[in-house]
Amino acid sequence: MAFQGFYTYGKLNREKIWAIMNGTTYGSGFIQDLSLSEGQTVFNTTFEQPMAYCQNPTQVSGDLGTFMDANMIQLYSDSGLIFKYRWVYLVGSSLDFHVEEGSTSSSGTQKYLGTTWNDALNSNDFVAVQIGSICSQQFGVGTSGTRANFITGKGSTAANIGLGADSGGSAFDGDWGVILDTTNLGTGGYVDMLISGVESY
Amino acid sequence: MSYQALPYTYGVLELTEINNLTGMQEGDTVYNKDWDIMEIYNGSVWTNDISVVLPLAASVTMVPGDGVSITPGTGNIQCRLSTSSDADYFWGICLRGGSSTDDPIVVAFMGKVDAKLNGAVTRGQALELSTSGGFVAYTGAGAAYTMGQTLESAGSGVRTIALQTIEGN
Repeated sequence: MAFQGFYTYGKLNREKIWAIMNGTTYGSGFIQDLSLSEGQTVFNTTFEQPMAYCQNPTQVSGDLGTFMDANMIQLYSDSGLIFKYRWVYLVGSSLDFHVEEGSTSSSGTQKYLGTTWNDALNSNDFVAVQIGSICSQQFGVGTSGTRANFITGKGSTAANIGLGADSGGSAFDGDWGVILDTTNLGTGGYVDMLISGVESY
Repeated sequence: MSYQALPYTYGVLELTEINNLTGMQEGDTVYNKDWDIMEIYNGSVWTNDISVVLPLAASVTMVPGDGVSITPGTGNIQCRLSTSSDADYFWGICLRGGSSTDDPIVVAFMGKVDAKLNGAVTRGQALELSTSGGFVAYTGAGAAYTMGQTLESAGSGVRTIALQTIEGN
């Protein structure tokens, strides 16, 4: 029987997928001449999901696109570097579809939209924002003042499996996820979470 | 590097082109360039991983962007246009509609979708069900039954939102 493989880039873990997206593997020319293009596929072995590439409308000028699975939506980095595993919110004072890393200031509290899957290196790069299923999320205890894009345990408790999470504020009343795995927590590390639900403010 | 051409039956197409395709067979695939997602033909309609296909409850016209609820009761599951009191029955947003009883309605339950808003919104605002006829709206701070957030600032009409159907209460 004849059959063909489905995945353009085969099976890769997330680090190797990011390396294709940011030019490490095949160079920036591969991105800007659109050899990396809309709809190409890869199987993400980290969370075992098929992903397809979402091309940035200005990719030929150097703005980066991103691979996504069905649990992600692509949005623009508003002001530059956005790290992976950070919670983000819509920037009300900026352009449509632009996000920033979360903040415990009044502008960001209780506005959780989702958690980033990849690094956006510059403004107008695409960042894949996960809004459902299992994601990795930075976690810190008592770090909300200086590391506001981390989440913290309720009442500054340590990360525990089964603990709910929201993005801070005085009233912890908008849970959007539950911690599933703390293996990679360490100091300033990340937890794996099941997420579902935006916050209202 | 060796890699192969796009694996989809119909390649990468815009939504209008997909909706105009004919002669599909069950299992055919296409990459929807407008929604940035792969779609699969199930034998009667194109669907995808952010949606379910539900039969329409009664002869009512349901179009893309309409809020969709489940008709409570017994028997087979059916869907209808959402109302403001449908928080417990809300299913998602219509991506592909119909007009006759048992028409297959493609209903998104999460993702970046276009929904029908009946008021002006600012990006990032939380949304709830509003009035009859499948509308959603921003109803004020601390909304109890949030089903998504606006991704753009705009007046009423069909606008892009981040949809999540879990209740936010």
